[in-house]
Amino acid sequence: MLHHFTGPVLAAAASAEQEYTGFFSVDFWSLVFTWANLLILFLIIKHFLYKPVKKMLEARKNEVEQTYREADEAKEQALSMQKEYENHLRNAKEEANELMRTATRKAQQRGDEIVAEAREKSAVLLRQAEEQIGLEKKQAMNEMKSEISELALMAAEKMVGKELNQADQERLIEEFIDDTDRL
Amino acid sequence: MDGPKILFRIPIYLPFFPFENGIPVTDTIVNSWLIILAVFLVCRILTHHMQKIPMKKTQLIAEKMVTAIDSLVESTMGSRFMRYAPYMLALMIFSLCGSLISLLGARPVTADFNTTLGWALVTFVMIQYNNIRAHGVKGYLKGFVQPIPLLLPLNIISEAATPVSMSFRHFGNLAAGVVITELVYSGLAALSTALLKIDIPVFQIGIPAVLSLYFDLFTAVLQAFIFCMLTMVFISNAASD
Repeated sequence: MLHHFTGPVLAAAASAEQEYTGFFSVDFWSLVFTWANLLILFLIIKHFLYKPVKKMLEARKNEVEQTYREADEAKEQALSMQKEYENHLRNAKEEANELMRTATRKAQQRGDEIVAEAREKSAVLLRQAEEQIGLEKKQAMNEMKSEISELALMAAEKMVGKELNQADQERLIEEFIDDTDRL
Repeated sequence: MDGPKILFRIPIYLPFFPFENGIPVTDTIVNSWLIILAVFLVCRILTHHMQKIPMKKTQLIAEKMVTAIDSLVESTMGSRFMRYAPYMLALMIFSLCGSLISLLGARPVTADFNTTLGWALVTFVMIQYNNIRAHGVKGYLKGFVQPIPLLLPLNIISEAATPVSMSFRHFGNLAAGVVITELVYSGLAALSTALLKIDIPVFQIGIPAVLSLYFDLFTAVLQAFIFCMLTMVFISNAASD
């Protein structure tokens, strides 16, 4: 230990009431206390100020990062969803258009079919009607012929007053018919 | 001029140490304990109920202190020395409080040579440790004979001068403040008696406060900053060159 600045005699004299260490001296126990105090203060600062604050800053940083990450994810998700919906919408429109086209085509087809069918039917009906008319005309002609012949026969009988034999009858009829044909 | 007072002695008697009266405890030590207690309480208050979204000013102060020392350490020492940040904060707070305690009328802790020498020796050990860690024992020893072996004594002296200069600087500035303040006080008292013929030191009012602005506030802040900066620079230099 270095000597006290005040000198040993003065220090001894002062020690009765108040002791001083040297103004500029190296004192072993003061050094030991200084180191101990520095260590204690270091530990206090580290454990009660530095570490808690660092932990808090770290937690905040993590939270901010997480918030940003979540926001990015949400944005990405929103964008993908938007894309998906746009796709859906486009598909739906296409589908609707396709549906419309098919429906129109089918309707057209059906209409054409109906018209064709109707035309065919009407043609058949017309032909049938014509056939019927022809048949009926022929029939009517035949009936008329037979009636006329009967009538002519009756008139001839009346006029001749006798019964004609079979051969005459036939001949007369022929003549009459020829006459009527000529009419 | 007296040094720190011995306030009491711890009655422990060790065989190899020449203290027949037990371990002396000076007012420097007691003031350090008061500072440690105050710092502990302030730390508890500042970090009380911290939240991710800071609501209280105390939390902002605590965060500001930590981020400030972090950025200072990072810019001075580099990011690989971030583990020294809490020590630097502790050293700076201790130095600041130890000097500024004079504003409360107590003897500054840093006006005791043993305090600054103790801190400077810690810095010295850290410098040597980092030097050995970076260069290995062989490289560390080789550093003493460079650039030429002739410079070995000078290198040793320069290495030893680091803690000496650091401790002397800090101690000298603060102790000078104490001495000058005391001189000014007694001078002003004598002046009052001589001029006004009364035993009341009237001139002691006001005038020392202006000097205290320099010797207590300015010097305290400056020396705390210088001591920490030198510690950081020496440590990072030892690990890099």
